[in-house]
Amino acid sequence: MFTVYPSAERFSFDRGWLQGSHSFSFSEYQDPNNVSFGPLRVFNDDVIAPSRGFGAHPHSDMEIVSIILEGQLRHEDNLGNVAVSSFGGVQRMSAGTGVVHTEHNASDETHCNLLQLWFEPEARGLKPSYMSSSYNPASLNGQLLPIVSRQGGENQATIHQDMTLYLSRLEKGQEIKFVQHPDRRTYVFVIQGSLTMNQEHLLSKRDAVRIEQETHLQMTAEEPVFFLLIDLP
Amino acid sequence: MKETVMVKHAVTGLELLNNNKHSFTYELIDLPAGGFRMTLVGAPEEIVQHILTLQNELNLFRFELPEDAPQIKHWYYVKEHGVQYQADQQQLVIEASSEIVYLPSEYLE
Repeated sequence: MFTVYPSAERFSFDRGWLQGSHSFSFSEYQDPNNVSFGPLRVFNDDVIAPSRGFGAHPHSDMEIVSIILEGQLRHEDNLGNVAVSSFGGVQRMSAGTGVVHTEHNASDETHCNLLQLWFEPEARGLKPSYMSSSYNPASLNGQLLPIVSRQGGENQATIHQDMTLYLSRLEKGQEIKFVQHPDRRTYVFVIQGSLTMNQEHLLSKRDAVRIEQETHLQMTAEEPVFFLLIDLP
Repeated sequence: MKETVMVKHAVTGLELLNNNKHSFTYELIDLPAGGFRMTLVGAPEEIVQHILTLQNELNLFRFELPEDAPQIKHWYYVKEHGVQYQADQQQLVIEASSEIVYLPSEYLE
């Protein structure tokens, strides 16, 4: 079953220093019928103005993944971590029993665009931790590149959940397949360009599809496309 | 010294209860075996019921606002099964296992 969520149906807002879109209930967007997709609870597409950001605030019992698309994101937390990431960088915070952190655009000239995803962890009460990782953007071409997974690996962030997050870039007409277990979920989000899922469902920039009970997925680029695929329980 | 006590939904950030907006009394005690217990009395029943539905995903805050010093924030890690309500006494009890104290002024605003 494919359920397409067009970009325009996301909850979008403009606070001046922060523009963004929520794909699930978050902040002033509250929809009891749209709170999660498996352990995926938050999918925010944020643009932060130069030198601006989120002040100190806490989190608990969430795996928080930030994927930087443009600009620079600065993270600081009460565990002593300070990191600045740009395109090709991924930050993962396991909030567990509690982390206080800040997130800011590290540039005073250009905006920062990031995707921030929150996942329920496989257990409550984990020890809080943070890591940043990076991948080679050239490695995205023509394949599904894992950038976050439970087992981790070279150029991958580890996460306390049975899931894998992939990024991929395809040229126009290029095709890629993904075989899924029937009991698992798949979430696909188009960052740039467009693709067709299983020759039937067209996804354009910032569209998403939530997929259940489908085992054979085929992504075909309608134009050069940059997209994200998440394999979830 | 002014003090704010607030209960928020930890995922969406939805503010559920705030002593500056809602009328209730509260008391915070240290538990002998470790941790904390916040007892809130007289909070609106409808809000309490909402809190109970979200009890596994709560942020409990206490903000101290000294007159001549920066704000101090206390955040409490709510225990699993740590939320109870006695309707006849309008008493909401939230138990926390740990606390993080932080000064927003020490971070980038």
